Amino acid sequence: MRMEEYLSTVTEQIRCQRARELVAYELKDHILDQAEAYEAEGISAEEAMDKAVREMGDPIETGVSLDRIHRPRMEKGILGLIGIISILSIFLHAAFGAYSPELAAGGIGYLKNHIMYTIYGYILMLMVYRLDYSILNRWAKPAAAGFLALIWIGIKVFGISYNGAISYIRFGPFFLSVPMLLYLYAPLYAGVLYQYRGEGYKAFWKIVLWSVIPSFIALKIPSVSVNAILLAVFAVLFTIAVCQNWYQVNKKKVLTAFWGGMSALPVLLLGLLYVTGNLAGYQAARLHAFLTKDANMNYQANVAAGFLSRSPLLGRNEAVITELAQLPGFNSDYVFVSVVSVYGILAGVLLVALFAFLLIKIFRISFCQKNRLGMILGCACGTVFLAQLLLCLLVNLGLFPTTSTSLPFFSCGGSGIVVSYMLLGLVLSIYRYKNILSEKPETKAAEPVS
Amino acid sequence: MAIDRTLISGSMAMMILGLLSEKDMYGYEMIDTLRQRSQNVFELKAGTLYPLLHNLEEKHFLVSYEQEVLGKKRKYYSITREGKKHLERKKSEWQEYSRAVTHVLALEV
Repeated sequence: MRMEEYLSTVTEQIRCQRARELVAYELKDHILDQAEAYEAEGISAEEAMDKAVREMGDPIETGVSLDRIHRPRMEKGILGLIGIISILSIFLHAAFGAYSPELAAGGIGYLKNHIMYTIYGYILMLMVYRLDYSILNRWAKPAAAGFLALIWIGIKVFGISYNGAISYIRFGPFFLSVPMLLYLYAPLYAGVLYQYRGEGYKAFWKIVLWSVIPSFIALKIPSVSVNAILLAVFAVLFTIAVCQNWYQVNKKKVLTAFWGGMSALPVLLLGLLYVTGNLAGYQAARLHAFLTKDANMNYQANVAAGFLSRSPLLGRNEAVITELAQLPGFNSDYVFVSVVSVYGILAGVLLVALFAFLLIKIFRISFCQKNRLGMILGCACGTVFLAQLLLCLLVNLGLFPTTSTSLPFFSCGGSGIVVSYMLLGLVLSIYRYKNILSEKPETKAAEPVS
Repeated sequence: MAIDRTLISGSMAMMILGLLSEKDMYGYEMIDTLRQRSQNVFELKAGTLYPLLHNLEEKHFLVSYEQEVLGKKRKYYSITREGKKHLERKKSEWQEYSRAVTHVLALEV
Protein backbone atom coordinates (compact mmCIF):
# COMPACT_ATOMS: atom_id res chain seq x y z
CA MET A 1 0.00 0.00 0.00
CA ARG A 2 1.30 3.44 -0.89
CA MET A 3 1.37 6.31 1.56
CA GLU A 4 -1.33 8.30 -0.25
CA GLU A 5 -3.57 5.25 -0.31
CA TYR A 6 -3.03 4.66 3.39
CA LEU A 7 -3.78 8.27 4.29
CA SER A 8 -6.89 8.47 2.17
CA THR A 9 -8.21 5.23 3.66
CA VAL A 10 -7.68 6.59 7.18
CA THR A 11 -9.26 9.96 6.46
CA GLU A 12 -12.22 8.43 4.64
CA GLN A 13 -13.28 6.89 7.95
CA ILE A 14 -13.48 10.34 9.51
CA ARG A 15 -16.91 11.74 8.81
CA CYS A 16 -16.08 15.29 9.70
CA GLN A 17 -14.44 16.77 6.61
CA ARG A 18 -12.67 19.54 8.47
CA ALA A 19 -10.87 17.15 10.82
CA ARG A 20 -9.20 15.18 8.03
CA GLU A 21 -6.45 17.65 7.28
CA LEU A 22 -5.45 17.80 10.94
CA VAL A 23 -5.04 14.02 11.12
CA ALA A 24 -3.45 13.39 7.72
CA TYR A 25 -0.63 15.81 8.24
CA GLU A 26 0.52 14.22 11.48
CA LEU A 27 0.34 10.65 10.13
CA LYS A 28 2.20 11.65 6.99
CA ASP A 29 5.05 13.10 9.05
CA HIS A 30 5.24 9.88 10.99
CA ILE A 31 5.48 7.71 7.88
CA LEU A 32 8.20 9.93 6.45
CA ASP A 33 10.19 9.75 9.70
CA GLN A 34 9.86 5.99 9.84
CA ALA A 35 10.87 5.59 6.20
CA GLU A 36 13.89 7.77 6.77
CA ALA A 37 14.92 5.61 9.73
CA TYR A 38 14.64 2.45 7.63
CA GLU A 39 16.63 4.04 4.85
CA ALA A 40 19.35 4.88 7.35
CA GLU A 41 19.48 1.17 8.16
CA GLY A 42 20.38 0.55 4.52
CA ILE A 43 17.06 -0.39 2.95
CA SER A 44 16.23 1.02 -0.50
CA ALA A 45 14.02 4.12 -0.55
CA GLU A 46 11.04 2.36 -2.08
CA GLU A 47 11.19 -0.60 0.23
CA ALA A 48 11.65 1.67 3.26
CA MET A 49 8.51 3.59 2.38
CA ASP A 50 6.60 0.37 1.87
CA LYS A 51 7.71 -0.99 5.20
CA ALA A 52 6.93 2.27 6.96
CA VAL A 53 3.36 2.26 5.66
CA ARG A 54 2.87 -1.38 6.65
CA GLU A 55 4.22 -0.54 10.10
CA MET A 56 1.32 1.88 10.59
CA GLY A 57 -1.21 -0.91 10.96
CA ASP A 58 -4.75 -1.21 9.70
CA PRO A 59 -5.88 2.15 8.25
CA ILE A 60 -9.57 1.41 8.73
CA GLU A 61 -9.19 0.61 12.41
CA THR A 62 -7.12 3.75 12.94
CA GLY A 63 -9.57 5.88 10.97
CA VAL A 64 -12.54 4.60 12.93
CA SER A 65 -10.90 5.34 16.29
CA LEU A 66 -9.96 8.81 15.10
CA ASP A 67 -13.48 9.42 13.85
CA ARG A 68 -14.77 8.77 17.34
CA ILE A 69 -12.57 11.55 18.72
CA HIS A 70 -12.76 14.14 15.97
CA ARG A 71 -16.43 14.75 15.51
CA PRO A 72 -18.54 17.84 15.97
CA ARG A 73 -19.66 18.19 19.56
CA MET A 74 -22.74 19.78 21.02
CA GLU A 75 -22.34 21.36 24.42
CA LYS A 76 -25.42 19.88 26.06
CA GLY A 77 -24.93 21.71 29.35
CA ILE A 78 -25.24 25.11 27.73
CA LEU A 79 -28.14 23.94 25.60
CA GLY A 80 -29.97 22.78 28.73
CA LEU A 81 -29.23 26.03 30.54
CA ILE A 82 -30.44 28.16 27.66
CA GLY A 83 -33.59 26.04 27.46
CA ILE A 84 -34.34 26.86 31.12
CA ILE A 85 -33.56 30.53 30.53
CA SER A 86 -35.85 30.73 27.48
CA ILE A 87 -38.76 29.10 29.29
CA LEU A 88 -38.35 31.34 32.36
CA SER A 89 -38.16 34.38 30.10
CA ILE A 90 -41.37 33.43 28.26
CA PHE A 91 -43.23 32.81 31.53
CA LEU A 92 -42.02 36.12 32.87
CA HIS A 93 -43.21 38.04 29.83
CA ALA A 94 -46.53 36.19 29.88
CA ALA A 95 -46.93 37.54 33.43
CA PHE A 96 -45.78 41.04 32.45
CA GLY A 97 -48.28 41.07 29.59
CA ALA A 98 -51.04 40.45 32.09
CA TYR A 99 -49.78 42.85 34.81
CA SER A 100 -49.52 45.96 32.70
CA PRO A 101 -52.88 47.43 31.60
CA GLU A 102 -51.22 48.90 28.56
CA LEU A 103 -49.75 45.58 27.43
CA ALA A 104 -52.86 43.63 28.43
CA ALA A 105 -54.91 45.88 26.15
CA GLY A 106 -53.02 44.45 23.19
CA GLY A 107 -54.24 40.94 24.01
CA ILE A 108 -51.68 38.20 23.62
CA GLY A 109 -49.79 40.13 20.95
CA TYR A 110 -47.07 41.12 23.40
CA LEU A 111 -46.35 37.57 24.48
CA LYS A 112 -46.65 36.31 20.91
CA ASN A 113 -43.95 38.77 19.85
CA HIS A 114 -41.66 37.68 22.65
CA ILE A 115 -42.09 34.03 21.69
CA MET A 116 -41.49 34.87 18.03
CA TYR A 117 -38.25 36.68 18.90
CA THR A 118 -37.13 33.68 20.94
CA ILE A 119 -37.84 31.38 17.99
CA TYR A 120 -35.91 33.69 15.63
CA GLY A 121 -33.15 33.66 18.24
CA TYR A 122 -32.98 29.85 18.26
CA ILE A 123 -32.92 29.69 14.46
CA LEU A 124 -30.07 32.19 14.26
CA MET A 125 -28.27 30.50 17.17
CA LEU A 126 -28.30 27.18 15.32
CA MET A 127 -27.19 28.87 12.11
CA VAL A 128 -24.23 30.48 13.87
CA TYR A 129 -23.52 27.14 15.58
CA ARG A 130 -23.17 25.47 12.17
CA LEU A 131 -20.96 28.29 10.94
CA ASP A 132 -17.28 27.57 10.76
CA TYR A 133 -15.85 30.43 12.79
CA SER A 134 -12.35 29.92 11.36
CA ILE A 135 -13.27 32.13 8.38
CA LEU A 136 -12.46 34.99 10.74
CA ASN A 137 -8.85 33.78 10.55
CA ARG A 138 -8.54 35.68 7.34
CA TRP A 139 -11.67 37.83 7.19
CA ALA A 140 -11.90 39.42 10.63
CA LYS A 141 -10.76 42.87 9.49
CA PRO A 142 -12.94 43.14 6.37
CA ALA A 143 -15.86 41.67 8.32
CA ALA A 144 -15.44 44.13 11.20
CA ALA A 145 -15.02 47.09 8.84
CA GLY A 146 -17.98 46.01 6.73
CA PHE A 147 -20.12 45.56 9.82
CA LEU A 148 -19.34 49.05 11.10
CA ALA A 149 -19.93 50.54 7.64
CA LEU A 150 -23.32 48.82 7.42
CA ILE A 151 -24.33 50.13 10.84
CA TRP A 152 -23.20 53.62 9.88
CA ILE A 153 -25.13 53.55 6.59
CA GLY A 154 -28.09 52.06 8.43
CA ILE A 155 -28.10 54.93 10.91
CA LYS A 156 -27.67 57.58 8.21
CA VAL A 157 -30.18 56.19 5.70
CA PHE A 158 -32.69 54.09 7.63
CA GLY A 159 -32.17 55.50 11.11
CA ILE A 160 -35.27 56.23 13.13
CA SER A 161 -35.09 58.87 15.77
CA TYR A 162 -36.82 58.00 19.02
CA ASN A 163 -36.69 60.32 22.02
CA GLY A 164 -33.84 62.20 20.39
CA ALA A 165 -31.66 59.12 19.92
CA ILE A 166 -31.23 57.19 16.70
CA SER A 167 -31.80 53.87 18.37
CA TYR A 168 -33.35 51.95 15.50
CA ILE A 169 -32.62 51.07 11.92
CA ARG A 170 -35.68 50.31 9.89
CA PHE A 171 -35.16 47.32 7.69
CA GLY A 172 -38.36 46.39 5.90
CA PRO A 173 -40.84 45.39 8.57
CA PHE A 174 -38.08 45.05 11.18
CA PHE A 175 -36.85 47.69 13.57
CA LEU A 176 -33.32 46.78 14.55
CA SER A 177 -31.94 48.25 17.73
CA VAL A 178 -28.54 49.83 17.01
CA PRO A 179 -27.15 49.44 20.55
CA MET A 180 -27.94 45.72 20.49
CA LEU A 181 -26.49 45.22 17.01
CA LEU A 182 -23.28 46.86 18.16
CA TYR A 183 -22.71 43.98 20.61
CA LEU A 184 -22.20 41.72 17.60
CA TYR A 185 -19.07 43.74 16.90
CA ALA A 186 -17.36 42.23 19.98
CA PRO A 187 -16.49 38.85 18.39
CA LEU A 188 -15.36 40.61 15.20
CA TYR A 189 -13.11 42.81 17.31
CA ALA A 190 -11.72 39.67 18.95
CA GLY A 191 -10.92 38.32 15.49
CA VAL A 192 -9.12 41.56 14.65
CA LEU A 193 -6.99 41.26 17.82
CA TYR A 194 -6.11 37.73 16.74
CA GLN A 195 -5.08 38.90 13.28
CA TYR A 196 -2.66 41.48 14.71
CA ARG A 197 -0.68 38.95 16.74
CA GLY A 198 3.04 39.02 16.18
CA GLU A 199 3.02 42.66 15.14
CA GLY A 200 4.40 44.09 18.38
CA TYR A 201 3.82 47.62 19.62
CA LYS A 202 2.91 48.94 16.19
CA ALA A 203 -0.32 46.90 16.29
CA PHE A 204 -1.49 48.99 19.25
CA TRP A 205 -2.46 52.18 17.48
CA LYS A 206 -4.41 50.14 14.93
CA ILE A 207 -6.20 48.35 17.75
CA VAL A 208 -7.04 51.74 19.25
CA LEU A 209 -8.60 52.71 15.93
CA TRP A 210 -10.70 49.53 15.83
CA SER A 211 -11.91 50.42 19.34
CA VAL A 212 -12.56 54.11 18.83
CA ILE A 213 -14.73 53.84 15.71
CA PRO A 214 -17.54 51.72 17.23
CA SER A 215 -17.29 53.82 20.37
CA PHE A 216 -17.80 56.91 18.21
CA ILE A 217 -20.87 55.31 16.62
CA ALA A 218 -22.24 54.49 20.07
CA LEU A 219 -21.75 58.11 21.12
CA LYS A 220 -23.48 59.28 17.95
CA ILE A 221 -26.65 57.33 18.78
CA PRO A 222 -26.08 58.50 21.59
CA SER A 223 -25.81 55.65 24.04
CA VAL A 224 -23.38 56.05 26.90
CA SER A 225 -24.18 52.62 28.32
CA VAL A 226 -23.41 50.72 25.11
CA ASN A 227 -20.27 52.74 24.77
CA ALA A 228 -19.21 51.85 28.29
CA ILE A 229 -19.95 48.16 27.76
CA LEU A 230 -18.13 48.02 24.44
CA LEU A 231 -15.05 49.76 25.82
CA ALA A 232 -15.02 47.45 28.84
CA VAL A 233 -15.27 44.41 26.55
CA PHE A 234 -12.49 45.73 24.30
CA ALA A 235 -10.29 46.36 27.34
CA VAL A 236 -10.78 42.82 28.68
CA LEU A 237 -10.15 41.21 25.30
CA PHE A 238 -7.04 43.32 24.74
CA THR A 239 -5.77 42.27 28.17
CA ILE A 240 -6.31 38.60 27.36
CA ALA A 241 -4.50 39.04 24.04
CA VAL A 242 -1.53 40.71 25.74
CA CYS A 243 -1.45 38.05 28.48
CA GLN A 244 -1.34 35.38 25.78
CA ASN A 245 1.77 37.12 24.48
CA TRP A 246 0.25 37.70 21.03
CA TYR A 247 2.13 40.94 20.57
CA GLN A 248 5.42 39.90 22.19
CA VAL A 249 5.63 43.01 24.33
CA ASN A 250 6.48 43.58 27.97
CA LYS A 251 3.17 42.38 29.40
CA LYS A 252 3.53 43.93 32.83
CA LYS A 253 4.45 47.40 31.59
CA VAL A 254 1.81 47.47 28.87
CA LEU A 255 -1.01 46.28 31.12
CA THR A 256 -0.11 48.60 33.99
CA ALA A 257 -0.05 51.59 31.66
CA PHE A 258 -3.20 50.46 29.89
CA TRP A 259 -5.34 49.86 32.96
CA GLY A 260 -3.98 52.95 34.67
CA GLY A 261 -5.07 55.03 31.70
CA MET A 262 -8.35 53.18 31.31
CA SER A 263 -9.48 53.69 34.90
CA ALA A 264 -8.56 57.36 34.92
CA LEU A 265 -10.11 58.15 31.54
CA PRO A 266 -13.88 57.88 32.13
CA VAL A 267 -13.77 59.63 35.47
CA LEU A 268 -11.66 62.40 34.01
CA LEU A 269 -13.78 62.77 30.91
CA LEU A 270 -17.12 62.69 32.66
CA GLY A 271 -15.93 65.05 35.36
CA LEU A 272 -14.60 67.50 32.79
CA LEU A 273 -17.81 67.40 30.77
CA TYR A 274 -19.92 67.83 33.89
CA VAL A 275 -17.89 70.75 35.19
CA THR A 276 -17.63 72.57 31.87
CA GLY A 277 -21.31 71.97 31.15
CA ASN A 278 -20.63 70.10 27.94
CA LEU A 279 -22.86 67.15 28.76
CA ALA A 280 -26.23 66.97 27.04
CA GLY A 281 -28.94 68.32 29.31
CA TYR A 282 -30.46 64.99 30.23
CA GLN A 283 -27.05 63.41 30.83
CA ALA A 284 -26.04 66.10 33.29
CA ALA A 285 -29.43 65.83 34.96
CA ARG A 286 -29.09 62.06 35.36
CA LEU A 287 -25.64 62.41 36.84
CA HIS A 288 -26.73 65.23 39.11
CA ALA A 289 -29.76 63.25 40.22
CA PHE A 290 -27.63 60.26 41.02
CA LEU A 291 -25.07 62.26 42.95
CA THR A 292 -27.58 64.28 44.94
CA LYS A 293 -30.26 61.57 45.26
CA ASP A 294 -32.75 64.17 44.12
CA ALA A 295 -36.15 62.51 44.42
CA ASN A 296 -37.83 64.57 41.71
CA MET A 297 -35.12 64.14 39.15
CA ASN A 298 -34.59 60.43 39.42
CA TYR A 299 -38.07 59.04 38.96
CA GLN A 300 -37.22 55.59 37.57
CA ALA A 301 -34.54 54.86 40.12
CA ASN A 302 -36.80 55.97 42.97
CA VAL A 303 -39.73 53.84 41.89
CA ALA A 304 -37.33 50.91 41.43
CA ALA A 305 -35.86 51.43 44.91
CA GLY A 306 -39.39 51.66 46.32
CA PHE A 307 -40.35 48.35 44.75
CA LEU A 308 -37.19 46.67 45.92
CA SER A 309 -37.75 47.74 49.49
CA ARG A 310 -41.06 45.90 49.46
CA SER A 311 -39.68 42.67 48.00
CA PRO A 312 -40.78 39.48 49.72
CA LEU A 313 -38.23 36.73 50.29
CA LEU A 314 -40.17 34.46 47.98
CA GLY A 315 -43.65 34.40 46.51
CA ARG A 316 -45.99 36.64 44.54
CA ASN A 317 -46.20 40.19 45.73
CA GLU A 318 -49.75 41.17 44.67
CA ALA A 319 -49.34 44.74 45.87
CA VAL A 320 -46.45 45.45 43.54
CA ILE A 321 -48.02 43.60 40.58
CA THR A 322 -50.75 46.21 40.18
CA GLU A 323 -48.23 49.06 40.32
CA LEU A 324 -45.55 47.47 38.20
CA ALA A 325 -46.43 49.42 35.06
CA GLN A 326 -45.63 52.67 36.90
CA LEU A 327 -41.97 51.81 36.49
CA PRO A 328 -40.92 52.75 32.96
CA GLY A 329 -38.86 49.91 31.54
CA PHE A 330 -40.19 47.37 34.06
CA ASN A 331 -39.97 44.70 31.35
CA SER A 332 -36.68 45.86 29.82
CA ASP A 333 -34.15 48.02 31.70
CA TYR A 334 -35.64 47.18 35.10
CA VAL A 335 -36.54 43.57 34.47
CA PHE A 336 -34.42 42.48 37.43
CA VAL A 337 -36.27 44.83 39.79
CA SER A 338 -39.55 43.43 38.49
CA VAL A 339 -38.48 39.85 39.14
CA VAL A 340 -37.23 40.59 42.65
CA SER A 341 -40.11 42.80 43.75
CA VAL A 342 -42.82 40.51 42.37
CA TYR A 343 -41.36 37.05 42.87
CA GLY A 344 -39.02 37.70 45.75
CA ILE A 345 -35.35 38.06 46.55
CA LEU A 346 -34.68 34.35 46.12
CA ALA A 347 -36.01 34.48 42.56
CA GLY A 348 -33.53 37.27 41.86
CA VAL A 349 -30.71 35.25 43.39
CA LEU A 350 -31.70 32.27 41.26
CA LEU A 351 -31.65 34.43 38.16
CA VAL A 352 -28.15 35.71 38.93
CA ALA A 353 -27.03 32.16 39.75
CA LEU A 354 -28.29 30.95 36.35
CA PHE A 355 -26.24 33.65 34.64
CA ALA A 356 -23.20 32.89 36.76
CA PHE A 357 -23.46 29.25 35.79
CA LEU A 358 -23.82 30.12 32.10
CA LEU A 359 -20.85 32.49 32.23
CA ILE A 360 -18.63 29.96 34.00
CA LYS A 361 -19.48 27.43 31.29
CA ILE A 362 -18.76 29.92 28.51
CA PHE A 363 -15.39 30.95 29.92
CA ARG A 364 -14.41 27.38 30.70
CA ILE A 365 -15.14 26.35 27.12
CA SER A 366 -13.18 29.33 25.86
CA PHE A 367 -10.09 28.82 27.96
CA CYS A 368 -10.01 25.07 27.28
CA GLN A 369 -9.75 25.86 23.58
CA LYS A 370 -6.60 24.94 21.78
CA ASN A 371 -7.52 27.09 18.84
CA ARG A 372 -6.64 30.58 20.05
CA LEU A 373 -9.06 32.28 17.70
CA GLY A 374 -11.82 30.16 19.24
CA MET A 375 -10.59 31.08 22.70
CA ILE A 376 -10.75 34.84 22.13
CA LEU A 377 -14.11 34.64 20.30
CA GLY A 378 -15.62 32.72 23.20
CA CYS A 379 -14.22 35.27 25.63
CA ALA A 380 -15.75 38.06 23.54
CA CYS A 381 -19.23 36.54 23.85
CA GLY A 382 -18.78 35.81 27.55
CA THR A 383 -17.53 39.32 28.29
CA VAL A 384 -20.46 40.96 26.48
CA PHE A 385 -22.90 38.94 28.61
CA LEU A 386 -20.93 39.63 31.77
CA ALA A 387 -20.77 43.40 31.12
CA GLN A 388 -24.48 43.59 30.28
CA LEU A 389 -25.35 41.62 33.40
CA LEU A 390 -23.17 43.76 35.68
CA LEU A 391 -24.43 47.08 34.32
CA CYS A 392 -28.02 45.88 34.50
CA LEU A 393 -27.63 44.78 38.13
CA LEU A 394 -25.85 48.01 39.13
CA VAL A 395 -28.53 50.23 37.60
CA ASN A 396 -31.35 48.08 38.92
CA LEU A 397 -29.97 48.16 42.44
CA GLY A 398 -29.46 51.92 42.22
CA LEU A 399 -25.69 51.69 42.44
CA PHE A 400 -25.18 53.41 39.09
CA PRO A 401 -26.87 56.40 37.42
CA THR A 402 -29.94 55.52 35.39
CA THR A 403 -28.99 54.50 31.90
CA SER A 404 -30.51 52.12 29.39
CA THR A 405 -29.54 48.55 30.19
CA SER A 406 -30.69 45.16 29.17
CA LEU A 407 -30.49 41.73 30.69
CA PRO A 408 -29.52 39.22 27.98
CA PHE A 409 -32.34 36.80 27.07
CA PHE A 410 -34.75 38.52 29.48
CA SER A 411 -35.23 42.18 28.63
CA CYS A 412 -37.97 42.65 26.07
CA GLY A 413 -37.03 43.70 22.56
CA GLY A 414 -36.43 41.54 19.51
CA SER A 415 -32.93 42.73 18.61
CA GLY A 416 -31.54 42.21 22.10
CA ILE A 417 -32.97 38.72 22.35
CA VAL A 418 -31.83 37.64 18.90
CA VAL A 419 -28.33 39.08 19.39
CA SER A 420 -27.97 37.23 22.71
CA TYR A 421 -28.85 33.92 21.09
CA MET A 422 -26.47 34.60 18.22
CA LEU A 423 -23.58 35.24 20.59
CA LEU A 424 -24.39 32.02 22.41
CA GLY A 425 -24.51 30.23 19.05
CA LEU A 426 -20.93 31.33 18.50
CA VAL A 427 -19.90 29.76 21.82
CA LEU A 428 -21.59 26.52 20.78
CA SER A 429 -19.76 26.67 17.45
CA ILE A 430 -16.43 26.97 19.24
CA TYR A 431 -17.24 23.89 21.30
CA ARG A 432 -18.45 22.09 18.18
CA TYR A 433 -15.12 22.48 16.45
CA LYS A 434 -12.89 21.99 19.47
CA ASN A 435 -11.38 18.70 18.26
CA ILE A 436 -11.59 19.57 14.63
CA LEU A 437 -10.07 22.91 13.80
CA SER A 438 -6.35 23.09 14.14
CA GLU A 439 -4.56 26.34 13.82
CA LYS A 440 -2.35 26.57 10.80
CA PRO A 441 1.02 25.30 11.97
CA GLU A 442 2.89 28.18 13.44
CA THR A 443 6.35 27.78 14.82
CA LYS A 444 6.36 28.39 18.49
CA ALA A 445 8.92 28.84 21.17
CA ALA A 446 9.69 25.74 23.22
CA GLU A 447 7.09 26.55 25.87
CA PRO A 448 3.92 24.50 25.46
CA VAL A 449 0.53 26.12 25.78
CA SER A 450 -1.19 24.76 28.82
CA MET B 1 2.41 -11.73 22.12
CA ALA B 2 -1.38 -11.78 22.23
CA ILE B 3 -2.70 -9.80 25.17
CA ASP B 4 -6.20 -8.69 25.99
CA ARG B 5 -6.94 -5.45 24.12
CA THR B 6 -8.32 -3.42 27.01
CA LEU B 7 -5.31 -4.33 29.10
CA ILE B 8 -3.08 -3.10 26.28
CA SER B 9 -4.82 0.22 25.70
CA GLY B 10 -5.06 0.96 29.42
CA SER B 11 -1.42 0.22 30.10
CA MET B 12 -0.36 1.84 26.83
CA ALA B 13 -1.93 5.13 27.92
CA MET B 14 -0.05 4.80 31.18
CA MET B 15 3.25 4.15 29.41
CA ILE B 16 2.75 7.07 27.04
CA LEU B 17 2.04 9.38 29.97
CA GLY B 18 5.10 7.94 31.71
CA LEU B 19 7.32 8.67 28.71
CA LEU B 20 5.99 12.19 28.41
CA SER B 21 6.49 12.89 32.10
CA GLU B 22 10.22 12.74 31.37
CA LYS B 23 10.21 15.09 28.40
CA ASP B 24 8.07 16.34 25.53
CA MET B 25 8.14 14.06 22.51
CA TYR B 26 6.64 13.70 19.07
CA GLY B 27 4.85 10.57 17.91
CA TYR B 28 7.66 8.80 16.13
CA GLU B 29 10.04 9.49 19.00
CA MET B 30 7.62 7.83 21.42
CA ILE B 31 7.35 4.64 19.38
CA ASP B 32 11.09 4.50 18.97
CA THR B 33 11.77 5.03 22.67
CA LEU B 34 9.13 2.52 23.70
CA ARG B 35 10.57 -0.09 21.36
CA GLN B 36 14.08 0.37 22.71
CA ARG B 37 13.11 0.42 26.37
CA SER B 38 10.84 -2.60 26.26
CA GLN B 39 13.43 -4.57 24.27
CA ASN B 40 11.01 -4.90 21.36
CA VAL B 41 8.20 -6.36 23.49
CA PHE B 42 6.00 -3.35 22.82
CA GLU B 43 5.82 -2.92 19.10
CA LEU B 44 3.24 -0.17 19.23
CA LYS B 45 1.70 0.49 15.84
CA ALA B 46 1.52 4.15 14.91
CA GLY B 47 -2.06 3.54 13.88
CA THR B 48 -2.83 2.79 17.52
CA LEU B 49 -0.64 5.53 18.96
CA TYR B 50 -2.24 8.57 17.33
CA PRO B 51 -5.86 7.83 18.30
CA LEU B 52 -4.54 7.23 21.81
CA LEU B 53 -2.65 10.53 21.85
CA HIS B 54 -5.63 12.47 20.52
CA ASN B 55 -7.84 10.83 23.08
CA LEU B 56 -5.50 11.75 25.94
CA GLU B 57 -5.36 15.27 24.60
CA GLU B 58 -9.12 15.53 24.55
CA LYS B 59 -9.17 14.48 28.20
CA HIS B 60 -6.69 17.32 28.88
CA PHE B 61 -3.99 14.90 30.02
CA LEU B 62 -1.78 16.11 27.18
CA VAL B 63 -1.34 19.26 25.16
CA SER B 64 0.35 19.50 21.79
CA TYR B 65 2.32 22.24 20.12
CA GLU B 66 4.31 22.75 16.96
CA GLN B 67 8.03 23.17 17.04
CA GLU B 68 10.65 23.31 14.35
CA VAL B 69 13.60 21.00 14.85
CA LEU B 70 16.38 20.76 12.25
CA GLY B 71 14.17 22.37 9.63
CA LYS B 72 11.28 19.98 10.26
CA LYS B 73 8.00 20.96 11.86
CA ARG B 74 7.07 18.51 14.57
CA LYS B 75 3.96 18.12 16.63
CA TYR B 76 5.16 17.68 20.17
CA TYR B 77 3.08 16.37 23.02
CA SER B 78 3.51 17.52 26.58
CA ILE B 79 1.93 16.14 29.77
CA THR B 80 -0.32 18.44 31.78
CA ARG B 81 -0.69 18.67 35.54
CA GLU B 82 -3.94 16.75 35.21
CA GLY B 83 -2.12 14.12 33.17
CA LYS B 84 0.55 13.74 35.84
CA LYS B 85 -2.11 13.22 38.48
CA HIS B 86 -3.79 10.62 36.31
CA LEU B 87 -0.46 8.87 35.78
CA GLU B 88 0.18 8.67 39.53
CA ARG B 89 -3.25 7.16 40.06
CA LYS B 90 -2.74 4.62 37.28
CA LYS B 91 0.73 3.75 38.56
CA SER B 92 -0.47 2.92 42.06
CA GLU B 93 -3.39 0.93 40.61
CA TRP B 94 -0.94 -0.97 38.48
CA GLN B 95 1.41 -1.69 41.37
CA GLU B 96 -1.44 -2.97 43.48
CA TYR B 97 -2.64 -5.14 40.63
CA SER B 98 0.76 -6.61 39.81
CA ARG B 99 1.49 -7.23 43.51
CA ALA B 100 -1.76 -9.12 43.79
CA VAL B 101 -1.01 -11.17 40.69
CA THR B 102 2.46 -12.01 42.01
CA HIS B 103 1.03 -13.04 45.36
CA VAL B 104 -1.57 -15.29 43.79
CA LEU B 105 0.96 -16.94 41.54
CA ALA B 106 3.45 -17.36 44.37
CA LEU B 107 0.79 -19.13 46.41
CA GLU B 108 0.03 -21.51 43.63
CA VAL B 109 3.58 -22.37 42.79
